[in-house]
Amino acid sequence: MRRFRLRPNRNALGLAAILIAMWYAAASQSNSAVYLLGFVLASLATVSIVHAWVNVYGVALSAEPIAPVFLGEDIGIPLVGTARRRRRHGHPGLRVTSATGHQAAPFDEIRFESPQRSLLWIRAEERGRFETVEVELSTIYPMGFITAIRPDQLVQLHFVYPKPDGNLPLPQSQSPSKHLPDGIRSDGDDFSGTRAYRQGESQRHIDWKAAARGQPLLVKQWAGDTDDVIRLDWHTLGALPWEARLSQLTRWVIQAEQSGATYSLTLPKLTESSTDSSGSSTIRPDHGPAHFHECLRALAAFPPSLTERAEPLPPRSEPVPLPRANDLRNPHSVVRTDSLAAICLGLFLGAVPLLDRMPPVATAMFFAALITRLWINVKGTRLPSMPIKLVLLGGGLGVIGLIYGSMVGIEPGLGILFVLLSLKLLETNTIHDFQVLAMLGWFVALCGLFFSQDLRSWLYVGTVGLILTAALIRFHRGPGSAENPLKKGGRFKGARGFGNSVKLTGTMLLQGSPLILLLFLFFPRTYGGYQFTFSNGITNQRAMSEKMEPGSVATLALSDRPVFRVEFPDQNMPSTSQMYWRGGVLWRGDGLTWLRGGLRLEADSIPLTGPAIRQQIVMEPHGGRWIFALDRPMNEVSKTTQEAGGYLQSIKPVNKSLRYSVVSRPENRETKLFPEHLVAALQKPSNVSPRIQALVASWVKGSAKEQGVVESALKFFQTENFSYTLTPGRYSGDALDQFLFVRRSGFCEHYAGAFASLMRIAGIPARVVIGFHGGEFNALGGYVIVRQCDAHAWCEVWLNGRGWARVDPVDAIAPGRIQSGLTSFLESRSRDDDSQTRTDSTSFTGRFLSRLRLAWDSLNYQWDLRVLSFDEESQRSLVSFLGFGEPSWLSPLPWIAMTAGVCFIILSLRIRRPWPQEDVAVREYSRFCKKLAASGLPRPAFEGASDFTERAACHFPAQAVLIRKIGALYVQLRYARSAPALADFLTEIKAFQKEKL
Amino acid sequence: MKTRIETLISQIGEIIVGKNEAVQLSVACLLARGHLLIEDIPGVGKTTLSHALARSIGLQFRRVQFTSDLLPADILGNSIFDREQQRFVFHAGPLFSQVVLIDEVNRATPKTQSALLEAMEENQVTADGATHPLPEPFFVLATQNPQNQIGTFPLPESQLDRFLMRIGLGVPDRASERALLLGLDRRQLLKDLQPSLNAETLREIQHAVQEVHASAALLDYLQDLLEASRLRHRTGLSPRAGLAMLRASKAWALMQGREMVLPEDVQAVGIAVMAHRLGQDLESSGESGRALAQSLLKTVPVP
Repeated sequence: MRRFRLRPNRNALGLAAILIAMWYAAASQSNSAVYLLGFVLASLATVSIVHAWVNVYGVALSAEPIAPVFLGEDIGIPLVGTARRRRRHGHPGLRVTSATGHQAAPFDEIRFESPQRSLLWIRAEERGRFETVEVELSTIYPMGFITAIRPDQLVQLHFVYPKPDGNLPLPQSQSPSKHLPDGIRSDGDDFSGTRAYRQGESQRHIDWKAAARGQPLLVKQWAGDTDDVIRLDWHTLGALPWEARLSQLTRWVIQAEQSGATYSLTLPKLTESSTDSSGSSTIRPDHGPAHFHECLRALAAFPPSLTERAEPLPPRSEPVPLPRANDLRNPHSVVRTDSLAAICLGLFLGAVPLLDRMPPVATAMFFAALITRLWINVKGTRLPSMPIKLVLLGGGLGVIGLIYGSMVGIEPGLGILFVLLSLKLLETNTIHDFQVLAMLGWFVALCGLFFSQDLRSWLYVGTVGLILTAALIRFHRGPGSAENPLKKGGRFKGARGFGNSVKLTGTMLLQGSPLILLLFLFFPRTYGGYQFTFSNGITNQRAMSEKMEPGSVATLALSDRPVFRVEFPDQNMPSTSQMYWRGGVLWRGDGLTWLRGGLRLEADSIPLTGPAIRQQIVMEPHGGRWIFALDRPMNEVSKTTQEAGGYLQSIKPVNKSLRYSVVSRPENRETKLFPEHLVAALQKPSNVSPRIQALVASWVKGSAKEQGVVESALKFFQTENFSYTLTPGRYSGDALDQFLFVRRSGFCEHYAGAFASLMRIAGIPARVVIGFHGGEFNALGGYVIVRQCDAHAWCEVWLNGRGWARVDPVDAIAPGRIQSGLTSFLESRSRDDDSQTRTDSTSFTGRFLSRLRLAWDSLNYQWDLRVLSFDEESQRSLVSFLGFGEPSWLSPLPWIAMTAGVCFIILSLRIRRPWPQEDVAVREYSRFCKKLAASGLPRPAFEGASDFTERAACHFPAQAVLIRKIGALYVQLRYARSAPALADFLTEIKAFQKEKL
Repeated sequence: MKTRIETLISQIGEIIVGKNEAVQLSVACLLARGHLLIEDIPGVGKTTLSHALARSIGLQFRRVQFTSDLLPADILGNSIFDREQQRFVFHAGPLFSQVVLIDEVNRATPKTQSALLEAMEENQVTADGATHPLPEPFFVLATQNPQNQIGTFPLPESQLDRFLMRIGLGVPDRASERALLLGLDRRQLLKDLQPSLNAETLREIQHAVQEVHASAALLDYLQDLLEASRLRHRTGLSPRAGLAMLRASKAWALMQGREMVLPEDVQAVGIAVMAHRLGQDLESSGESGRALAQSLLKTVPVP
């Protein structure tokens, strides 16, 4: 018999395709989130293999009595599947295939308390007496891409009678004297039964009482003399070939039985070696069904001719589709509504993040397809025909081509994907279609991950993937069986079945989680060489721009999206008001509008003094080249450059989460200003109104030192009724003049820009710094989170002897902003306005919500820190930390092969383990039997230990004593009331294993 | 104890020559407190075996010949009005005996056969609303001809199930037959037969049978057999059949001088216990119960 095997089917191609797509997308972007999604799918797939195996192994298959048939007819084999043990998920989706390739209708879900039945039709191609049927029990449940096949031998005696054939007339009964026509023999005394009345017969023997009971007209029959018998004899047919004789006899038996006559059958007794008859055996004359079948069984079991080859039946290349088997499967019901609805939900949720990037025509088509397909299933109408689908395909692709002009790019690509998905949805009608749909769904979910990889998006996408998997499992579960009648009145379950599938998905996820972790840590990450980038999904996020003009910071302040999170490993966190996160320095200013200047960096212009603050920063992707750090970053950070003005810039745009470590020294002092920098820092605004000139001149006159000018300017802002607001309105024309003398309201960029311009007019070198200020300390995670709304701009002026000194004019106007951050500043201000309607952040719910928010954020931080920023380098350091040295990672293929190999070994180990588990004595005894079997004395499964060891002892006289002893001990161990010591048995076994037979 | 049983077997074996297995099985059946059905064609020694068995255990013994006109009252007994006492008095029938030999059990009508049901299962007889206990021990030995013989009424399933074993004797082999032909008259031998057991020792042995140990592994095997029979055949073995198997196996094990039951014991008694219980779905699979039982024993693996 063939062994148990696992075979990937064609659905596995779809899985491989989606896994390769995920790997490619992840590797080309070095994207951990995509990797993780791929690992989830891969481990679900791996775990599902074990589930398929358990599913197929936990069922005992048997056959019920098989009705005899004639050669060439179809044998119906009633199958019963019984679960070997109680199992929460039952055994759904099992089907039986015969050795000839005929398939039985799939079993309903087999549960411990409810065995299931099915019927397997196979063509009878050989006459005879058969004791077993070779079948294969297989399943593709739970995930459908691997077929677990268990060969089985059903023990059930059945007969295939010879084909009735031949045209010789039925021999006449041998009672010449009393023979009456139509087979009626009225001359016996014993009533022997009835048969159907035939038109034109005498009515004397009709069983009128039976007719009165409502039965059809029957004729009573009386057993006659033994002479009145049709004798069917093999030997009278000497002229015919072997099988033809059997066919002729079969035909006669049928005719004789139909005629109601008494008949006997004589066949030669054959020995095994020759076909020469050594006597003959006769079945005594009788009639009736039991006798009829007895005769036919004798004919069926008649040995085949040794000389004549049986005439082979015409060869069949493939199993003949049997109409009765097909009746059991209605093609319209393959996709049931509950699994279809689940997969539609999955697809819909998967598509939601993509909606704003999808061409509207594809969106419309997709939704229409979703609704139509569900409608078709509920109503049971026909699926759209091929021409309609072709028109839809051509139309959809044509419109997309017209809109975008090309088929390349992310939007047209998504469009094509969804047009194809819609069509697949419309034609989904088979198991394979459904499988493809689920895999497409995973792909759609994957696309959602291209645009955002934060924890929320990933959880969303992961959930979509799990919904799709659950839908797939639900689909392969089959129609679900009647529930345990003890529970809930034995209803058929629909929704409950889905709940079970969700549970199984969860179980599989948990079981696969160690594998996910291993893959995540050790699956070789590679980067580079793959010419594929997603369109930049980040640019639509509002990020800091390179140019500062009135309103540019204020717009940022409206968003509370996190920008980066900082940990201070040395626990020397400065106070929030002292946290100035330097992002960039603007040299070229004109009034309120400031730009970066293309200045060269003078490398050794900055001496390192003051305390060093180390920071671990994890930055969200923002698409720009900003690298933020506390004032002022000193060290080299990989993949970044130091720019003039003392700030960092990334070499490449930051498109994925970035993790870096930086050291800042807030108290550094420069002593030397480079001429080029000096010139740039003194460049006056192009348009200075006389009012401004006068104002600045008054400050310069009032104090001799630069420090005094700075203070006068700050005082000016403080005293002259300036207001700090997020909505200062638009400035046009001479913005500086307007701001200083007319409107006097602005946000930090206004003040920083104006202040720096004023300083330059006064002849003091000044520049504007943009970045972030402050941040929120998350006590849960022990880090500071900096959000968009913490965006800030401030000034630096050159003071002789002190170097570049930070001046923050906002501190002068709105000290609350600097002390406690913008949000609470705005809150406290608006609380003054209207204290009733505002949510009180000190109330219980307010505190609870804010704690919740912090907890969620610290989760996000861990996600960024541990998952998203885990890349090739982290992996390399992890591996060398574990002591594997510096591996050559570059080729992932050996690693993939290795992982697959490990999985396979684990799997095959589990398969070899017997089911159910046995105890030590049994295991050792079976080893003992194995050794004997290898020496030519196999033990039949039904033979008991005592008989077998006795037989073995006779067979191997040299070891007889030992073998008998083992037998006695084993029998004692297994069956006695007080078992002997197991150790004795084991030592005997050990001794025996050393023996040479 | 083992020697006593061996004496019993050898004593019967002197009369029934060459049928050692059948004799052993019938003794096992007796020890297991079961009723025995002997089925074979006429003239192979069914009645002789029954006589020998009944005589050598030294119990009170009666014989009933079943015929087609026999009525239940003929075997159970009936109430007759006693003029002196002015009331009905129950006159016990031939069934009230420790060993009852029912010859040709399938010659009687089903009505009469059914009268045996209560007696055989519950060791009591209910007649005219009064229940009368049967003597202890109560052992029914029945013989019958194969069912395709003319003028027989097949025993109903419920009746068959009450027999612990059904054994066949078969034609003796050539040597045994020669011994038979040369030997003395069997009837005469039977008359001279001395009981080798008495009621007390029989009870003792029957008690010892119950003490034989059946381990969990053996019960697993037994249950596997029962389960397989139920899966393969529409009328599988009943729980009573399971109990019968266990009892018979225990008796067999004791006869082998063992304190525990082995799968070999189950296999030894298996056909005798199972065959008549499985032979009911003849039409569907078309094999005699004996073959079905054999196939069960040859296919269910010993765990």
